[in-house]
Amino acid sequence: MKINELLYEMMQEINDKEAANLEKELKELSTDQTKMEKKKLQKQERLAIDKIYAEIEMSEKQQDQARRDNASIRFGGKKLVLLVAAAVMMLGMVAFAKEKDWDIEMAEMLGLSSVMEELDGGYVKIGACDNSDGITVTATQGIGDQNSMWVQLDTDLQWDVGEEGYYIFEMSDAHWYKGHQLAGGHQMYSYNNNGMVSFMWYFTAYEDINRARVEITLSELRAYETLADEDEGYIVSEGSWNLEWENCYASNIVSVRPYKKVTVHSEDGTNKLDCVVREIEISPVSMQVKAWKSPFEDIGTLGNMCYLSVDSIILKDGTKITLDGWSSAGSSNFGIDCFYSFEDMQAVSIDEIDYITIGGEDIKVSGIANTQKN
Amino acid sequence: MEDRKLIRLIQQNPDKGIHKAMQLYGTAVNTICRSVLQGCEEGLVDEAVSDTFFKLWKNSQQFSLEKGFSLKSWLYSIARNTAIDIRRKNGYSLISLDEKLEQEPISDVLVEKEVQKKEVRQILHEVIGALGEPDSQVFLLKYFLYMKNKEIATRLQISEKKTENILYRGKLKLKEMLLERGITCYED
Repeated sequence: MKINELLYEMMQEINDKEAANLEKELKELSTDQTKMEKKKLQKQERLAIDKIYAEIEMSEKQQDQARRDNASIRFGGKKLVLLVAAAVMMLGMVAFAKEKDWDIEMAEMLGLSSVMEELDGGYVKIGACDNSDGITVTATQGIGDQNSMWVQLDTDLQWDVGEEGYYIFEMSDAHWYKGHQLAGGHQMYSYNNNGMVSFMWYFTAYEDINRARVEITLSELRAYETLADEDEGYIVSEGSWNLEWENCYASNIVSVRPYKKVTVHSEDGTNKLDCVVREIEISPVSMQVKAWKSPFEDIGTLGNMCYLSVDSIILKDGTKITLDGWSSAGSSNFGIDCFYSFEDMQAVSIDEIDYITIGGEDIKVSGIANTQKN
Repeated sequence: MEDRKLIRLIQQNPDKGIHKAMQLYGTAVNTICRSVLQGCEEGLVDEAVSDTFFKLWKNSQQFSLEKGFSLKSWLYSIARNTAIDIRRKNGYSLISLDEKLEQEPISDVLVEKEVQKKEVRQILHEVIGALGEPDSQVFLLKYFLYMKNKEIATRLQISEKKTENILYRGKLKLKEMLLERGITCYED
């Protein structure tokens, strides 16, 4: 490759130091254009917003179309919910007896109450708490499987930011340990829990988190009156809270190792990546797909990256559930993964899944899957 | 405004989020796009800038502070690469004629594999970081903003000859480091 060509290509990404370095030059260069800038920026901003709303509209239309195409889902879904509800009435007492103080409101809030029976032991009381600066934070309970968990964090603080406001811990850190530190990600949002401040914390992991020790550190609780709170909100407490517990989610998992070659494409269609789907794990609350890729194949660069994604889930009755996006995705030299929460894939019964499609290829799940209980 | 707050605002309220991002980075993004799209019609700059902020919204979930990049460096990279795509799509060449006449310490670098590209990219950033001023500026203006040597010289108030020398020396340094790491370079 010619040296100049290579240098231009290598500068696709700049680091923070270079961005800061460049900024000085950019400011000087832009002073020549200051007069025309304001109107121009407004025009460009409008163009960008128009593109965003055109995309949102197109996405909504596609979702509507998918819903129309899958009219049978709703009927089938209702039937399924009714059957599950009946099952919960008959068998639920056994399951709920395991965690009799478990507050079902959490499952209702997440839209998971219909699959509680299928979840079986996938919901637990936690009870870890810490007090700092006069505020108690309690990890009250959780729902999860071996790859993900939702944890309800309650406080004894009154909700004081109206309907549009929210709370956030300025610093939040979470680690899982199981002999070694496990890799994963997390995100959290606050909600008004009957007048008190609570948080829903959502964790995903690339390794089995069942029986892992969880360590959470939270500090500096801030409140914001609105999403666009220009004055940066205000500090509620500068306290620091440490919570620890051991995970225990005995959820049902359907596990398949298809070793099937698929080709995924970048959104703009200019790049493609061959990979081998090596493992699919589906529980009532999440689906994780892991694939191998050659270390010599790059997933692309900004704008034309290839991601592993599941196109659709096909149920045994022929119902097709189209998936759009994913909760998280990752890649390394040898692997590429994607993760879907129940919010992305709808609350489907895992026994009803026939196959999934990735890169246009069908991958059979039913009949060959191992169903296990952790 | 902190990066993660801006990203959250963009995701939850695109109008306000993009407005804020425009206030913070609009001018810089314009300058990058204009620099890469020099010689092209003005409408393409608007297209590139609006595309850059559209991509910021669309890919906001992929932005991660854990990768070690700030929102600013991520956005500047999107702007530069978007402008390059638009330039190419509209049939404008990217490398100017004067570069064909430049004296080079290396004519070709043998980069066979993607992993090697990552390594070369890392070496390049190390070299730029070690060059000091104004040399690192010259490299950024040349290879990130696609400026011509003459423009760089004017901008940095140095001679065109000095600009060429800085680029030559930098490439020599790059060649040394590439060879040290076992990457093959062919000399002219």
